[in-house]
Amino acid sequence: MSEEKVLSFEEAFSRLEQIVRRLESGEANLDESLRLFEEGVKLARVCSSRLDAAEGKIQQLLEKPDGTVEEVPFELPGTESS
Amino acid sequence: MAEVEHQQLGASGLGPLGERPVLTVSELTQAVKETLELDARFQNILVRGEISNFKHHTSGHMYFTLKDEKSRLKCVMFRSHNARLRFRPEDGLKVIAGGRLGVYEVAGEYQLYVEELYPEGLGALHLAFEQLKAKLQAEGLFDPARKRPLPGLPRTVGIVTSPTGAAIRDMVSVLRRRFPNVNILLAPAIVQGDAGPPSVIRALELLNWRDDVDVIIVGRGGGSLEELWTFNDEGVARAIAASRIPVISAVGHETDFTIADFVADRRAPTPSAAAEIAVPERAKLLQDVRDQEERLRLAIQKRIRQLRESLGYLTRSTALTRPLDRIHQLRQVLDELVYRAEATFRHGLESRRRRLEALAGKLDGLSPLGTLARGYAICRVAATGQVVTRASQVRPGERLKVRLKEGELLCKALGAENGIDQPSLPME
Repeated sequence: MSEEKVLSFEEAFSRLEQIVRRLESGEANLDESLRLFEEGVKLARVCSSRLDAAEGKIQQLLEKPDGTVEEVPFELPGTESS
Repeated sequence: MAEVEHQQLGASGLGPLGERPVLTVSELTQAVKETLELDARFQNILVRGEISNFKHHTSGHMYFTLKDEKSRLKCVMFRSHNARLRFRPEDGLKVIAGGRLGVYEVAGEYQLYVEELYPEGLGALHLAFEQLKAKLQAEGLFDPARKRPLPGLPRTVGIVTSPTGAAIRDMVSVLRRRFPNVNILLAPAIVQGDAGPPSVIRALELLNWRDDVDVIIVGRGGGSLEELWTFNDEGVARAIAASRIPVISAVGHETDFTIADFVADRRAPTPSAAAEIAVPERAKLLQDVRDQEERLRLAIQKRIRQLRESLGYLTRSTALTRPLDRIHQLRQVLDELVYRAEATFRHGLESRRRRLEALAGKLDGLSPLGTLARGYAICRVAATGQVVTRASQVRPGERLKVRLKEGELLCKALGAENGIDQPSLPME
């Protein structure tokens, strides 16, 4: 579980590819196959969660006269068609 | 002429000074100064020459000599004038200097007070560009080893550019198309004119103070060399080099190279191209993951099929000494597989779980327990547990255990009915 936290998408995906190759080779015994399968499904889930991690916010930083920095939503000028 | 004057001096001798006035050095110098400085011809002149003895004094003033093949001209360019120079004057540089001629009384020297300085040949901006490029290159700021890899999957992309230009619109549009849920954090900056460099430097700072920005795009749309000058500024170049977060430069159109491009971790020819470099296509990655998941599923199904086949084989080969034990063992492995797979599939992969259950169902049909349900029984010698397949294995009076679908009978053999070497033993 803690492993999932540190894995980046690329790391998880490349490990997933390895596992699929190993499993497809038929060289793994039953017990290893089970472990690989489980790990593979977990990694696929990690990959998906990495792709879902960002929230799609568009913000801008504004510096106020008192020196503090504020984060406010940014809207592209002239794109408020909806 | 000089000779004539000399003769005249000689004729009158060095005798009595007579009526001729005697000036002090200061008076003479002052008179020369006035003559020179009141002459409009010397007050707004352009002089072509080569710089030598260049000194940039700690006071900020610049002192140098302009020379050609025959003559030398002392020059001074005060800080107030040289502060706006976009290139560094240096020895050997051919220039055109503009200013006024004056006299420095202390040394009794006339000199050119330079107010404008232009390199000959290359334009000033171009020269400045080449000079800064050479300087930073010598410092190793363009070293490929300094370039940091970009994150493969940034969660937040920081952008330094004008909030109103076409560049931000292009970048946001490309980022959203490729990765709809990526976060975008704009640090608005002025990207042309004298206010440009400090503004861009500040924006880079603000983004670097954040802990959620994975990559920064700094840039603007295309323009003239003058308009792009912010990105040829030394301070901006150093701020990019100092950025903790990897930086993609995105200035102008394809052909415009800036100092920022050389020092950035990655150079993009346009803001749109920078956005493409910054984020991958989410849909493609998602498909890649699904493809791998599908292959994973097919591979494990193949493994289950193999298991099922070997289980079927074992079920039929009753010749093995303890077939039930072996079958139980395999069933247990299969149960474990189904259990673990169920746990694994719990997250929205329901259909695959159902397939596994169906497979487990088929397996049940092949199990001897299914046979028992149809009314068959398994008979074993009570003492040894050996399965009885021939009457000759049992002596009269021997105790037997008979396994039914539900429960077991304890029996005693009375005799054999079709035995060859034993009499019939009807069961009691």
